[in-house]
Amino acid sequence: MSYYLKLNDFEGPLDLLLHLMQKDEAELDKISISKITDQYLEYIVGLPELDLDQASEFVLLAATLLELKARSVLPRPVSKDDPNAEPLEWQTEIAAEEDLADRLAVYRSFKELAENLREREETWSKVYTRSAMNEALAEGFSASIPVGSISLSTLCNALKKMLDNLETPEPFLELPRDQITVAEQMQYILERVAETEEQLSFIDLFSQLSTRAEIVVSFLALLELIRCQQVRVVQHQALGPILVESWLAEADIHNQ
Amino acid sequence: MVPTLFSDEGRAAIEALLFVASEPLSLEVLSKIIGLDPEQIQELIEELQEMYAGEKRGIQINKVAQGYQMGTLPAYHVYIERMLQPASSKLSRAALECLAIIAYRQPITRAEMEYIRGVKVDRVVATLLERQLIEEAGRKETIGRPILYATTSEFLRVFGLHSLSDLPPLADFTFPLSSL
Repeated sequence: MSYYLKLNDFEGPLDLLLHLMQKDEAELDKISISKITDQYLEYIVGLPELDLDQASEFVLLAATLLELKARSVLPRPVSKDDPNAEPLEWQTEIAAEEDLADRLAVYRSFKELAENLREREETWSKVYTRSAMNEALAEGFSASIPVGSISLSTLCNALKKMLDNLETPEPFLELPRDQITVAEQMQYILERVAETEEQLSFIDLFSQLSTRAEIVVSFLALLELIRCQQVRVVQHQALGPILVESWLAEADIHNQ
Repeated sequence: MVPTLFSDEGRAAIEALLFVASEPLSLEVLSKIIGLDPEQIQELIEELQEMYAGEKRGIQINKVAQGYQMGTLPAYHVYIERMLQPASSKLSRAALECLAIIAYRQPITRAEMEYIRGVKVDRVVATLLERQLIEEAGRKETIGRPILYATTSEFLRVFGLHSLSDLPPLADFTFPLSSL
């Protein structure tokens, strides 16, 4: 067989199955489990390298297919009471085949829908609005502020969440308020970072603050500290907590 | 339709507001600001749209994300890109598949998405969240209380949809099992 594409070309095992069936011009409601399992396995085994990360889902489906195939070649017990009743094993096998057919049908629908969305995206990406201008401006800033492993938009989203979560509504009256300065908050952040033995999260740092002004000034203080290379912000996994640590932290680890 | 006395004035005011706004404006918002009924606002917007269409313009007024927003005509995108040089960030096929699933099945959990796609969706979900195309929408009341995801108004804006009902019906894409 000369049609070995890399695993990367497929969006997962279901995608591969659809591809194999299309090549075969097989019909979804007449899946020959035996044949499709053979083809699938031949494909997987024939690949020169198998990256374990990518492979796990493919291997899982291979196991599922093998089980289906095994069931399909076993002699089917006939029910003793009613010769017309479907044996229980056979029923689950049919259910499993139908389940697979259903899954493939559903997956295929969404593949087509994704294509539809792609076309829309293509068209609408050529339409520029004032929103686009604001985003373009933000993109222009992100290159100059070294925030470590986080993108500027992640940081800004976190700030926005903090502001949204303020429980006390803004007072309508102008009360004399303490002037909070950026310098003071820079000091505050440095102290918090120093005294926290484990990692200080963005949320911890900001949850103590109660007014919009405090939050905004503190955020500016944080950015200033980053710019002066006194602290850094990191996010070790996608959607994980944003951590604030001393700039020297990594250097310390290397030295130990 | 008999043009109202405020027709020209109202129409011009709408145009000015749409020009300045950084996100789509709904009929309700425009109505509050200008002081005309939402129906009148809609008529005036349609007049503006017709006027634009009749002239050789570079902009049009789009009905997106349950509001109206001025946008450039796709035909002139080259010029905008020379000026803005936007980071071309098209979504991957995996991201689009996930987005399609969420759009039609929302609210939906990660596990449900993974069952449909057959692969893990963590990275894609993170990307879609960062782009603000999806958001967390509560939790499912089952074991583990997994997070539910739904699309946002930004999703509508990026794909030029006025509302979710502008999406083609799922039935159009559901093939009978016997065809491939």
